[in-house]
Amino acid sequence: MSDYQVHTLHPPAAGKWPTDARLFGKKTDSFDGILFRRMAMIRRFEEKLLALFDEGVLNGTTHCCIGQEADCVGVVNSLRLGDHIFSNHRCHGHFLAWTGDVLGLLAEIMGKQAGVCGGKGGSQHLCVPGFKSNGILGGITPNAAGVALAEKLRDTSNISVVFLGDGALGEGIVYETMNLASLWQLPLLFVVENNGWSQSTPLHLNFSGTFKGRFEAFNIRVNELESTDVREITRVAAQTVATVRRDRQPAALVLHTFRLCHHSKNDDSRPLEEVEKRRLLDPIRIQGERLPVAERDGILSDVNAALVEVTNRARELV
Amino acid sequence: MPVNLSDMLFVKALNNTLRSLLERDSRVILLGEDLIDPYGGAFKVTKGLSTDFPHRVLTTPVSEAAIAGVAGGLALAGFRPIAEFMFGDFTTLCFDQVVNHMSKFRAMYDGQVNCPVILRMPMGGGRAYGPTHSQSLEKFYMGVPGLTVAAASVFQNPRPLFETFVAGLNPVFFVEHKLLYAQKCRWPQSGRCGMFETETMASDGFLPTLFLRPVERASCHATVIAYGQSAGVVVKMAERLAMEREIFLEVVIPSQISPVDWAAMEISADSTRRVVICEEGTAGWDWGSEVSAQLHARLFGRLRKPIRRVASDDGLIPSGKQQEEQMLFGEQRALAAVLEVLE
Amino acid sequence: MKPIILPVSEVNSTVFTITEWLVSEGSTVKTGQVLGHAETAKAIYDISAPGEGVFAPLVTASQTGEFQKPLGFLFASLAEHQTWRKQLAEAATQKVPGESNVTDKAAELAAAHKLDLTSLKAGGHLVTRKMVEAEVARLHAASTPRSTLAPLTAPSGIRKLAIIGAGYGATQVLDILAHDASQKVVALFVDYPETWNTTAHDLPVVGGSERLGELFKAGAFEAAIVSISTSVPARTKFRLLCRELGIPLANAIDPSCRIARGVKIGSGNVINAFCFIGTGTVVGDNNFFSAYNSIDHHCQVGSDISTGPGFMVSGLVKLGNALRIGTGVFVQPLLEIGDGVQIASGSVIVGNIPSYHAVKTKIVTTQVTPIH
Repeated sequence: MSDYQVHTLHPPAAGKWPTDARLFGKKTDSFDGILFRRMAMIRRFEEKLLALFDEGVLNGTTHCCIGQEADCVGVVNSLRLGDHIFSNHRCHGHFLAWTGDVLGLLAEIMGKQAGVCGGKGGSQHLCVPGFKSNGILGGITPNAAGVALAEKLRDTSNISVVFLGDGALGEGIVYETMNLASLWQLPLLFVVENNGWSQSTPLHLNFSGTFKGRFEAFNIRVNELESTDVREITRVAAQTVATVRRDRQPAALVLHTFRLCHHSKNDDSRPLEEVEKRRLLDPIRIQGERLPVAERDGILSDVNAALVEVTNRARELV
Repeated sequence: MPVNLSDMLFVKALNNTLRSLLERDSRVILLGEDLIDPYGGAFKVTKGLSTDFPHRVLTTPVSEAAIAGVAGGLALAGFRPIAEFMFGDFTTLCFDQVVNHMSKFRAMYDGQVNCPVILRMPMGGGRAYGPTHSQSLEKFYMGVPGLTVAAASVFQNPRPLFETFVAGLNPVFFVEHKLLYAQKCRWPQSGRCGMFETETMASDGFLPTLFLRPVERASCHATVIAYGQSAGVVVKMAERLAMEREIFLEVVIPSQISPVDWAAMEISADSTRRVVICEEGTAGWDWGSEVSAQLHARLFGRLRKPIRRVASDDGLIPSGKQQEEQMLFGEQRALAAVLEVLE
Repeated sequence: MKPIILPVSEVNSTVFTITEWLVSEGSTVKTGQVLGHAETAKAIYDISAPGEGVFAPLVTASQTGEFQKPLGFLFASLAEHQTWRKQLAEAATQKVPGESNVTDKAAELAAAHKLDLTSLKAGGHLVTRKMVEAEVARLHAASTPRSTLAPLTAPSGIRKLAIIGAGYGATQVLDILAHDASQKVVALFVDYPETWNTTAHDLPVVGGSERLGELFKAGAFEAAIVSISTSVPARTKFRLLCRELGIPLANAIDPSCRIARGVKIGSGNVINAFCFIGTGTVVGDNNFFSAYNSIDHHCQVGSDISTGPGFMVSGLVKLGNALRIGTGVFVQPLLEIGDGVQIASGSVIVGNIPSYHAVKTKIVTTQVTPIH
């Protein structure tokens, strides 16, 4: 583990409610254990959310990131307090990897005042120090650039990170921002999570050219990785974050991944065989196999227990 | 430097305002296209500023959405960005950033952040610049929750307005009619402006509204409400009517046009009971429709005549000078409306 | 004469500064000669003579000029130049709209009365015709000698009254009061200086309403009645004036009237012959009811009302203030008439009338034709 130049985010960034060591990491955890625990937190949360929707407890819509937990944990773990994350409609994983505030997020999705944004933002519009998400695809990208510019004007070593999906690369604002970020040499990291599908539309119907080509057209360095292995992703993410922080230049990290859940709810029309094939590459399974069975099972039961408590608590809160 | 105020051109007053902000508040950043000296902006508003404040006047590519978005990010991070759009017609390109981002951040994030961006741009016709360089599009930004829309006029010193914007926490959409730049300032002095007695009113949290009247309010025959360049046109008409026909109008000039200071709009209308609302935007779904609807509701039964709204024709702003003149708001149509409510 | 124009126009500016003129006014110049320089934000331009002639600048150095507008002129001869200069000087002394502060109508009236406007203009405010009229009236009043006629006296125990106005309304009031042994009219106050020092209706006109306070304080009278019958604004004005001066208003009620039991009447009301006010009705102040008005039971009547004869109001009606009612008007029961309402003669009111509205009638069947 020592050849990873990694910032492990411990303690977590401030959420609305304090997190739980069972969810975010115990002092006794191994490094692999922390990675596994945080991904499990995200996975179980998302599953819980979908179950609550089926129960009729929740209103509106949501966009789960099941299958993409390794991206969330791998990238966010490489950041530090003072950095700024800008995320999109599929933001729970990024949020939880940053704060571990499962209670605040669940209460928010339940529309309660106790939620992260007082029930006003809901699933897609979250905000805590260092974290913002919005539901307009790509729209938050220039805001991320503006914050990066602010850090540059203040001569700090903080960076901005913006998470984009393959679909978001259809929006012009993303390219306007790439141009500006490169022109002005902003400490902005573009993280593209290509999960091959934009809602119901596969990549080949949406996307012309290459991911790398897009960034290189603006002189932005790209690291590209196809993996659901959180250790791999952590390594490449850490390297990329370090270059942005050190060189005060924009960079891009393109992660080829897969979504194992619906786009939002009950709207998965993708071919079943494709989804099933990808299930074999479930990032949680991959990481879990690195741990001794006892440790893995211990972590899973920790997470399950904590989530049951959080759910009950969230139901009580106003 | 002109000796007396009446020689100062509005563009100079605006330039002075931006300069004083840059001098006094290190959070202020200007950004926009072609702002750098010697060009100093398409309408020369920022002339000299990039020379004296080299790291705080940023020239941008032609990317209106990104200009707005980056300004939004700067504001989130505690700066006070002032973004210039070369022509107000181009603000269609940043609509998403204004509506779905900067105006919403504070509310949807439950008050955790503020996004005090100042967006300023020239709007309006009269220069034969054609359909996409002559519009008054501010009406599309009115009624956006969380957004303040304000308009410059030659009667209002821009400096206290901008100081309020910078001290405040809201995003602001500030409209400068392009014909204002080359006009002389006509700020009231000691309660007078030319032949008019003046009064200023501002309810809590609103920018000031200016009242100009040739005689005391009780003797005014009608109220005419107008902002920006239209206000200047209306004032000229009011001067003529007072002198030539002793028809006395009280001209109400708000600097804030959305949300509206209703107490200020009402007070003159409540006295004269005859109201005309003027603007240069195209007719229909315009500023006047909201103001007149509200005033009708508030003053129902007191008005002597229905409120008349005057605007430009609902259509293209043509390039040809005469054609443009015919379809734009002007003194002639304002006069017809005034005479109608006085019948 | 030929105008000198800067032919260039920049996209974004309409103005420039004349940095200098190289030739002086009155000099003869040749075609193409550089006459001066103009500076915009972007460039400095030569101003060239468009022809030959005598040069005169319109915009002086360091001032702003506008594209496409004359900066100066070339004249065919010195004489033409001189004429132009003279006209310019004359125009400068004439009234320029927006710079003078006297309206056209005010100027006209002042000239007709040969009134010097210097003092009126001094305030810096717009001088209107109303102001000129008021000033003329003020001067007229000031120049009219004050009335030397004194109010009449009355034996003790008899209430001394002043009447405001001396027109037809006053004659009606006097007729009503002729039968009233407890009150005596001692003076008339009329706002027409021509009437001062004269006698009207055998009573002294002691001055205008500006003397009311003085004579009241001196004890010349104890209460006043506003006799103006048809003008509601005038009645209101004088009621407010008396209130301000602390002068009580007296009622003048013709003895032929039938005022039922349980009726409350305010002050300053003039009620002409054969009026009826029904039981339980409350009446305000300063109303002028013509003859044969009937206000039935349990009505609420405001103040400053002026009616013609034959105003027939059913019971349980609410009448607002400052009404002007014509002749022969009928009102059904249980209705409400707001303030400031005007009702034309012959109307029959069958529904509520909101404040500040007028009720008009159309004369349908009555025809007026000459007798052959």
